[in-house]
Amino acid sequence: MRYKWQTGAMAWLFHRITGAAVGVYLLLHILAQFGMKYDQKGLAAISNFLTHKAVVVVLLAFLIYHTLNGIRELIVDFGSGALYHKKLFWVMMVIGVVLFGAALLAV
Amino acid sequence: MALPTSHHSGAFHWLFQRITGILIAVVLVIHMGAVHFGASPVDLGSPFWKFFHVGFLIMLLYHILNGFWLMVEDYVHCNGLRVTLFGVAWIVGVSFLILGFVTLVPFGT
Repeated sequence: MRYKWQTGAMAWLFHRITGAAVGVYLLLHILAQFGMKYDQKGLAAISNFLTHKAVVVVLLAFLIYHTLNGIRELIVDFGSGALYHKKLFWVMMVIGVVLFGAALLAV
Repeated sequence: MALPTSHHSGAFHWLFQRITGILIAVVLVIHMGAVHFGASPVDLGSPFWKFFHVGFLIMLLYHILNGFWLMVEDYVHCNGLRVTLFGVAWIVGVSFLILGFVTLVPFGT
């Protein structure tokens, strides 16, 4: 499969990459919580990895991107977003940067 | 075994990916706000939060594994591997549903 370097295709491809990464994170999050509940020392390493600051920062960036681009996809699919999907992408990215900045302050 | 492909089952999965996506976005903001960025700790052992997180767990697992399957449909063209990955998705889904349940249901006890 080939991808063209255009806004829509890149937004969609990055949606997949962030989705896969966040999906793996959340499965590990479930596993780590299970480990804490049942005092499984072997799973503590997972918990340490998930709460590492660099990992949390990447998670927040990916989550914010995936959510905002997901909303953009909804507008494209169910509204008339196809007509202005590129503009919409950059509007979402501006909102995302603001949200990410606010999240960084709270981390 | 009839392989699930977008040819005959895609519309339902496509729609449900969007429905669960909207719900997850709302629930995620509440989860992050209350559990991870909250000013005061919440009682995760209360019936409300148990119900909330069990619902969150089910929607998330569906959204993650359905997303995984959408990618398999796009990138994996070998039928044997597709069947294997379909099985893997189900095993992961059921396993994590059980892991989540046994963590959440007795939470706080």
